[in-house]
Amino acid sequence: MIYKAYTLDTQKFLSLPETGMGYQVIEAKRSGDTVKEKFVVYNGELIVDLDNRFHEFKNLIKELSFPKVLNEAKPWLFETSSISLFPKTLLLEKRVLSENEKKDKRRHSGRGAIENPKEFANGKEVFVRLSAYENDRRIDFEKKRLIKGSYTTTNLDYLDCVKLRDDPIDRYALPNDEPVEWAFYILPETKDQLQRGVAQPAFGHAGGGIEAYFENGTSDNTYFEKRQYGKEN
Amino acid sequence: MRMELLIILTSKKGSMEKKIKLLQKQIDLLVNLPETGMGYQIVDIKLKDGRIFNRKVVLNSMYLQIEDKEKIDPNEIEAIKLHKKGI
Repeated sequence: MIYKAYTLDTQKFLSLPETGMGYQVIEAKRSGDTVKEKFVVYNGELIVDLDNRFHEFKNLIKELSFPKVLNEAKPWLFETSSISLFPKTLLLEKRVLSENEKKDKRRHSGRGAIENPKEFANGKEVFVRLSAYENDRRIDFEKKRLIKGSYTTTNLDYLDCVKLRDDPIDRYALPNDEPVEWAFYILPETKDQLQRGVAQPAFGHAGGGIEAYFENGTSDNTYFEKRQYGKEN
Repeated sequence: MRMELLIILTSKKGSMEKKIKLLQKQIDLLVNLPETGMGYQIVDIKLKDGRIFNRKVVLNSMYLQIEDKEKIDPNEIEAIKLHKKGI
């Protein structure tokens, strides 16, 4: 979305250095929100969400002209004290896909898993943990479960990744460039809780794959199979 | 530093990176801490000589990924903790 800054926030933006000529990349909390998000601020007064729709909004500003968009944008209140400049060095490590690229690869938009509410597994949905390592440390092979604080993707998203010949390193925004070799299959029980979301851009990768976070891990005997990446059995 | 602990690889970004296998006690510590994303954790490291390395990636709770120019001996690590702000 595109917003207009309130005067107080504009003053804050202007007190911070620019990220590039005419713009700043900042992190801030929307008023009443607890999570900091990233935004691009133009000329200290026009604010654009820095998410997977950023290029769409950027093009809109170019098309309609800056003054027109500024005139029509609705003001949005931020917690002025939460506003900080996002480090440029980290910015260079992130990229986003165009809408067409995302559609072709069935990538998704949305918040990361830990920002979403917890849900119970339905006892039927299979989750897959991808790894470069056969001895993945987050699987308890003895008790056949996922240990607490571990991430997976869904089997459906994994299948999309394989069928569409997508790059799992980019899809799940992984920091290592070693190839993903292994897929660990988990069928959580209905008492197991998870948070579901979308892998955020990081490490020079676009993300957009589904991620599921199991804060408390899964029940015993829920890990049932290890396969080579991309193999059906 | 023992050579078997060191694996050098070239990332797709073209920069040289090293992976260092952590000590078992450090691996045990990390296995009990939550992941930052699938297969990795972002950590801050303090060495016994006082040097601090922030926002380092640990893969599979056992391989610390550092830049080629950096020197970290796992035996010289005083503390490892999860980086608070994630990525």
